[in-house]
Amino acid sequence: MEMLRAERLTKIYGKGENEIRALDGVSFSVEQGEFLAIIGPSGSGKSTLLHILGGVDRPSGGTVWVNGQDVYAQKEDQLAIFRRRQVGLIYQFYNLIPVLNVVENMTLPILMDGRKVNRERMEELLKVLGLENRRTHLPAQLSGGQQQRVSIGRALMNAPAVVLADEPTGNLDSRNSAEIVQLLKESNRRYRQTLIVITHDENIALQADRILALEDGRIVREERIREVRA
Amino acid sequence: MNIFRTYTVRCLRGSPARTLVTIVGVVLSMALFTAVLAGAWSGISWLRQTEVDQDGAFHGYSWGLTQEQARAMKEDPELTATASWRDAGWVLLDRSSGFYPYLHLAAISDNFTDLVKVELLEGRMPETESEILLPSDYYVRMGDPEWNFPEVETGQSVTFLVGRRCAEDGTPLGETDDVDLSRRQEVIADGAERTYTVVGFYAEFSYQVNQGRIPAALALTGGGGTGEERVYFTMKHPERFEEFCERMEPQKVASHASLLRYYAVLGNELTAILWGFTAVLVFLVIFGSVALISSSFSISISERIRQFGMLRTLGATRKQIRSAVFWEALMLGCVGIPLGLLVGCGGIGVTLWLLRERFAVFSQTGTLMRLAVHPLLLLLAAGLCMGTILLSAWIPARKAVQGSAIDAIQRSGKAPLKARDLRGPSLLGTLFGFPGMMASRNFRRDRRRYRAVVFSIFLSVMLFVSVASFTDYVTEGLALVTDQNSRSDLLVSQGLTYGKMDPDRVLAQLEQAEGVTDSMFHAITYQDMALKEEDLSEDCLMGLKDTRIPHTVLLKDGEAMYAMHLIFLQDSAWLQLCEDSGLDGAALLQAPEPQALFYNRQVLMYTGYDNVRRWVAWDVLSEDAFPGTITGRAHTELDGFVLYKEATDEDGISTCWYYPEDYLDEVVSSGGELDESRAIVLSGKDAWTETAYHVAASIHEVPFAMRRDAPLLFYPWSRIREVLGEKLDKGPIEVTYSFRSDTPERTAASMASFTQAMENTDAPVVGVDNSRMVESLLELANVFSAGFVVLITLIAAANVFDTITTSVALRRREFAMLKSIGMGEREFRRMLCLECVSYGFRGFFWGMLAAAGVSRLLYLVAASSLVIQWHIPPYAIAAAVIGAFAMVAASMVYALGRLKGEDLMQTLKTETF
Repeated sequence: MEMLRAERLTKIYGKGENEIRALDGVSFSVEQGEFLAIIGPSGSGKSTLLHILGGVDRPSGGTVWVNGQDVYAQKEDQLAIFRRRQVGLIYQFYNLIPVLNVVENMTLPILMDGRKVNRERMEELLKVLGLENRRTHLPAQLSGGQQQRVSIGRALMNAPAVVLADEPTGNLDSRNSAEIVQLLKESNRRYRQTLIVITHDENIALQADRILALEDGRIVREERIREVRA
Repeated sequence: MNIFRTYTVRCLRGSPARTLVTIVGVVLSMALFTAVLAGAWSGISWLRQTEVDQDGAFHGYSWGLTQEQARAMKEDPELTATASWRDAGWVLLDRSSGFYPYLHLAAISDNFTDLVKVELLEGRMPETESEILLPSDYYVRMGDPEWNFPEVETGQSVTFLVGRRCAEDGTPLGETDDVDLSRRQEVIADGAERTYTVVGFYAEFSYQVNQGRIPAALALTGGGGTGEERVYFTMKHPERFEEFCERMEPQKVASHASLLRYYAVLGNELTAILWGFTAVLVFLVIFGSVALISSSFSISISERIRQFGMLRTLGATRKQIRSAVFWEALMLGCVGIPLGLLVGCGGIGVTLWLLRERFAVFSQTGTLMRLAVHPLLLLLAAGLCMGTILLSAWIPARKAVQGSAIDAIQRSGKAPLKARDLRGPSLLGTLFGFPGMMASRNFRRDRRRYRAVVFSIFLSVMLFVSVASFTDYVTEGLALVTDQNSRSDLLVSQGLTYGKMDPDRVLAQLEQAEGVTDSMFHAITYQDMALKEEDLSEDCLMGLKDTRIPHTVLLKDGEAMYAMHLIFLQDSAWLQLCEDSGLDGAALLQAPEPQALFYNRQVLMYTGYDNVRRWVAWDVLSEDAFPGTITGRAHTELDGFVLYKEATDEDGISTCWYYPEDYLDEVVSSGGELDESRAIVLSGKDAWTETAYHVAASIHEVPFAMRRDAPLLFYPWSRIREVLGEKLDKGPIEVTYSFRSDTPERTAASMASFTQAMENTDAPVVGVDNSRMVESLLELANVFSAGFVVLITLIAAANVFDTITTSVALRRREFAMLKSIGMGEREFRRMLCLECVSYGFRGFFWGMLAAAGVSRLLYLVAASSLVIQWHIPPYAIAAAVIGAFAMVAASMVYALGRLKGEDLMQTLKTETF
């Protein structure tokens, strides 16, 4: 089942002589439960693509469909709710709110929605992420790996349709990196979540079901490594 | 708690210094709002109280009411209190005089003095029907043969024929019927003899209490009375007075207009001015507060703009972000507003308490100023402050949700810096090298943020300098105006025949009046003085020759003719004057020739050709002229002859014609021609008599009773005979007794009993002293403007502190980077110092420019009524320079202190926020 589809996505910054095409007619689709890795050199448009897929940055042209819904046909407030419920975003620099503790950071999208936190799921995630003894710590009191695990927890807490990760291990040492990748794969498998990861790490890319290579805002290569489990 | 609220609370707790500064800002703003509004309300309440102290608390009264009507009125739900008097009969005292023929008896209700002020001059209020309180008008006319008022004293009994006032034909007449003897004769009908005990005298009611409708002196008795009633009342809503009048038969209702105008019922410019002034102040406070609080918010928001972006990527709606910011504003308001309320009330309360005596000077009743607080106004202040806070929050809140979420994360909501933003010559760079260039670039790269610093400094400098120059103008202008007046509170003048009466004794007697704090006497004569040109001061000579300055001094043949006052001062005052000027008064007093002190100053005010009023002041004589003599010149006087005609020929030689007094009278009354042969003709020097006046020294201060705008010669009273000679015997000389008193009205009343016994004297004259009022006014203006400037400056200081500390904190990584590439501690400090100088200079420059403009405007306004020169006081400029740079420097030092404890290299490595 198709979970996400991008059609002729373009993103242009600046005007006239200063015009930069960050994305130039990118089209692809992702199945439910698929693990897609996007690779490419710096400035190839990977992060821009990811932000547009997550409803965080508007494209200059083209459409994004998630779960059969045209993302950018929605109004700003609907888009915010879409981000809150359908997308889990993981950044290289964790982007945690410094004044909120581990549990609060993890449950943020649910709290923003004014819904009740599913305690069972939270406890399970804390256990999986190895953060059981850190639940009241503030981000400043955690190591980089722990902070990234919190941000993964936040992305997964809401059981979103798509998890988008932008260089999730870019700032971590190799031991932590392996752990994080393992966690992402585990959640992809356990919750059948669609996972799109931007990475420059070939080892991580090779663990994906499919690899898309971007260059100058275009898809230059697509490689299927394994079939998506039904 | 909602997660956004939790987030906001944690953020506030997370940066206590910033939260504190913002709260201090809110407290200051609220304190200012409260102080301004409570101050204005206290002012209005004080004005009302002065009226209440003067005439009573009633809002109006209705007269000519039947008992039925009066009862209905007393039960009217619109009225909160009533007091009344009832007609208790008329006494016809004096049939011959048409002015005040009657004594009208009014039986007052028990609570009469609750609403109407009865100022007892003597005795007490009447309590029974047979007791009577007589008015001061009666007292004054008692025993005067022109009037036929029986003489009585407090405690004595008096019998009157009391009855109804009627026309001869029996038509009843009331308190509104004028006495018109040409039209009709009046009689007392149903008269009966009644005996009253006089319990005292009261000061006749003012026009406000009794609008001159009664052709009688009004005596009060303690009860009884059967006639028409007059009801004084206060209203629940004084502002509805006019509606009430319409309902009541307006022709029978009178207002206490002087009180009601302070309820804005009957229109009052003063109240309008006070509220207008308050509105301007409130506007300034809002201006300053919005600047402070919004910059403080915008800083705290820009610090968190990435966090907001983050929250948005996680699905927070714009509304949620905005409400988080507003929630923050609300919380700060809830803490700051009550504190500000207390600080404001306390501040203005203490100020008014300290100044209460000063205010008392302005009211004839000596009403003290008190803090008055109106709950609605406090609510308004709180509302204004909350509005200001929300407005301040709205600006950064809008910024926080502008653009896409990813913009917020990547660029902290700022537009990307372009090369052209940084282009342009850099003076700092040229002068101070790399640190200077960096300082200049730092300013340019985020002008908006640094503009907040510059703006704060600008605001303080502008306000401070403008207010200082305004106060200066007022001080100068008013000082000059008061030069023309003496500073006496009370004057008594007396035509005195020399040798017959001793003014020292009269003064000693008058001094015993209640409340006299200072006293003196003097006599004045005029004399033309021929001052030698070489004795004149340079300024004076130049001034007199300046054709643009109009004056009455004749400059001719090397002489300047001044019409001068010779003042004969009470010896003790003269000796005091000598002592004040550092002279040996005792020796001068005993000198063989009478010695004068010369008040060496002349002030001229004039309107120039350009229609701008100006003033000039100079010393008349140069200091070299003292000691010396000056020549008085007067036409020669011939016994029994009158100077009739004077002519001056081409050479300037004058000729005078004197005719015998009797002959001149005869010819002038019969309209005949004068026979020149009967005239004595004097020519040239013979026409003039010269007198030499010995002047011991020049002085620059005068006793309180003198004006200060013209040259004066002071002699001791004991030498008047030697100075004036025979002139003294020609008629009475006018002696003026001057007094200072804190309660001039009361002193005058108390002095009246003495002056009545004096010959050739009018009643004491009160209220010639403006200077005391001016002093008080200036002091009040100074205190309030100083307070205002201090608070605005504090707000600005908080603003500067806030901006600088944050900008330093936000640039932590950059500093680390600069250090990592080899910038030393000294260069680093230098760079920051130069940044400070750059802000301070900009703020100061624009502030001074604006202040000059404002000061010029103020000057133009002030120059229309005062004669002053445009200037900016140098002390204000100096203080502004020091203040501006001190503010910036202190904030930088603090911020650097905070940075010092940090491991900058660690900062460089961290990219989290």
